[in-house]
Amino acid sequence: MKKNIISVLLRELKLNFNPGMISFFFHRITGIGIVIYIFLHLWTLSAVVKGRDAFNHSIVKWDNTLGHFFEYLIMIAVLYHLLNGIRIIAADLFKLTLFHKKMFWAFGIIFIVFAVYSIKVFF
Amino acid sequence: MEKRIVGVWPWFAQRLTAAFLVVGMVIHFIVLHYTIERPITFEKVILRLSSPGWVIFDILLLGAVIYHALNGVWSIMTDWNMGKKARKIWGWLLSIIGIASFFIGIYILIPFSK
Repeated sequence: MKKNIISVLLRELKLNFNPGMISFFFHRITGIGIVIYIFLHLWTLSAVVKGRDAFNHSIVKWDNTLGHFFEYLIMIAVLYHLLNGIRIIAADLFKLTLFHKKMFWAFGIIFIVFAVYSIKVFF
Repeated sequence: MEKRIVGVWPWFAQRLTAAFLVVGMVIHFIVLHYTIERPITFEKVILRLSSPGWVIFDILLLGAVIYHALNGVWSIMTDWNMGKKARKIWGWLLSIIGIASFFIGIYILIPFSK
């Protein structure tokens, strides 16, 4: 039986509401978001092929509050995916599976600190 | 069971690219968001990319991010338990998208590094 990806994820999250499942849920959501962004990123930058003015124009188009908001969203998505990725590598390659829940909360604090600090940088 | 051709290597490559991206993305964000005045203009980008080290860094980042992204998509798809034929089609499709995006990325880098 095929179901859409988000409803399956939400059901899994509800059934296993624990740090492992929560982290997996957000890892997947941020992962999908970043993949979509990468192609938009390439598309925006590809304006350079038409010359420097076209490039500057395509960048300035996003230099406003809405653009900065999207930048910030991408930044926190990458930050989460990056920190949780370190946790996965630690569990997979360095036999730290026993500490994965503690790491989840520790990285959660780092995430909040950087996310709050970045508000100042991005807005 | 289906014969495994590539085995554990895509999984391991996903970890390797992840480790590189942890460092690479932090650098990418520092140089393009945290230590630069907006907007990021063509002039600012060529200033950085005038040194070959940064061009190599960007190419490595491009390759790692595309592999990691599309192999990530692939690992989501394996959760869907696709049939043999669908696996084959998607495997090829993602590979082609990956290789094409890599060369498009390089093509975009050329005007900056001239």
